[in-house]
Amino acid sequence: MLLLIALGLYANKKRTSNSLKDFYLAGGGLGPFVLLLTLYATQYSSNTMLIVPAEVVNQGMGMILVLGYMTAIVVLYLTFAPQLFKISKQHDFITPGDWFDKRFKMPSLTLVANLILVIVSVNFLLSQLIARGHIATGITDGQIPYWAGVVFLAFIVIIYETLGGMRAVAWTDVIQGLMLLIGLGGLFFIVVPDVDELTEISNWLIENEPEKIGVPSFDFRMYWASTVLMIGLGGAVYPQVIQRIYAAKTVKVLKQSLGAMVFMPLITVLILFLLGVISIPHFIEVSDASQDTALPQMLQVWGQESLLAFVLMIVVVLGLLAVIMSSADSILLSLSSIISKDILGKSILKNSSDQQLAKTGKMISWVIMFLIVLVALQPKITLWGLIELKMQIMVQIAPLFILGVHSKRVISAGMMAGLIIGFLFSITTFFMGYKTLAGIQSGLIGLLLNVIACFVFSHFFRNKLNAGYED
Amino acid sequence: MKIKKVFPFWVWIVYAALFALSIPWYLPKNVEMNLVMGLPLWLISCILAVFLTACFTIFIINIFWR
Repeated sequence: MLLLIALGLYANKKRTSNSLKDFYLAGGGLGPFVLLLTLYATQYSSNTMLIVPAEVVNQGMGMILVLGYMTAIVVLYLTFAPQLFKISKQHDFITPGDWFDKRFKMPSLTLVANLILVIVSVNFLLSQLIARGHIATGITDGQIPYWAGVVFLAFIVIIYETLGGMRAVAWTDVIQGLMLLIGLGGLFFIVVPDVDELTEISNWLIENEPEKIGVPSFDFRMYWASTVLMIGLGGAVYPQVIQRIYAAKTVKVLKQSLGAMVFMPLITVLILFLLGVISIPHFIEVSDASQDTALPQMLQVWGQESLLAFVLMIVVVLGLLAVIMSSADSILLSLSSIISKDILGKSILKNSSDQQLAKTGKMISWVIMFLIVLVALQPKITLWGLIELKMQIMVQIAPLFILGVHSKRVISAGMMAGLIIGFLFSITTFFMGYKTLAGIQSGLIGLLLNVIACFVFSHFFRNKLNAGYED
Repeated sequence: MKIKKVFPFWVWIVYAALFALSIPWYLPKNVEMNLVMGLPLWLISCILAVFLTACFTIFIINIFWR
């Protein structure tokens, strides 16, 4: 923890200016190694780490769908990242809102899109804090209280993030990404079974829990396909990921990092998946299936097997904590950039300098963190519930990037109509309890309505409004 | 603002096919359980489809993205 704060201080000294670009994009000069690990540590949040084993315990082997969506995220970057990177360098983009402004030239659309990004980011940050609380209490069998885990994480992250901005966040991500890889290697070493043991567990499942190992039902396969598409599209346009595309030094760096990222699910998710599989028999007696703490609880059990297992368990826990921090810091940085530059910087702080905006961004980070800690102390929803809610909303932003890059027909009024319709449909269905409709994620149906509305409105308003594209 | 296409259209068709392959649509619900390396065959085939997707991605990044 001290090392992370020291890195924050060092990054603060290494800054070349007090500009927004230096603070939020590390001057736009991240190399391949740092970019890969910062993308990795940012993309693999506590959601993945805790959800995969927990949901395999809950729902069975069909949750291999997580492998699909983590891969889909990288594939879907390719639908817009090459073009967006080039344009971002030409026009010095800092936030996702810079792209919306450049492409659509409609301040109200940028504002609505940014507000949606803020809602999603707050949700994401909240899930990181909840996960941290679960891990602290799960691995210590309740000796460290939930609230202490939440507050401590929040405090460390906010300090190094406000000290060093993107530079500190990217450097700490490198350490955190490496810790995660070492932790997962350790976890693999401790518990992942050989073929004989796996056969034994599978045979046990066939006999006792056949629905967790059998070919998933048609309904589940529909859910699987729509979840991969929805989270793939939503995850590809996270604001913190978009800013990492802007921050790549060259196109070669971006290509190398994405090329390596596409194999990361096969390392990370598969290990977590196998851990979930071998945990199923352990949780068979537990009637309440909300198992966000399945992995921490199993770590505690495995850690008691031998001294080596205990040491490796500590490494794993550090890796888990590291990945939570790296996701939390990235979201917080992105969130403060959107609020300070795109929302306040275009309204009440219109005439402020870059320095003042960066300073305001830091203050906003503290306020956001304080408010989210208050909510995280009383969690009312499981992590999987939070991730589904987040993605149902987030996926509505995807057309702004993908259609924005590829379609000349789409104009700002169409995009605005689509975004509002998709957003309202998704949150309404979610809060009415219809997370899926006919087995399909309702966020994906919202996206379909979003795209249809976008093209219909673009067609009818095309002659009345400036398309913006031809600039 | 001129935006050029980077990947040809057929690339997305291949991705769609790999995506379809990664979900066991082709198996009936009550198919007999075959284990390969201790895991069900349907699961191994899903993992294999994802692996092919990753390899294909490396290929197209290096061939088309200049």
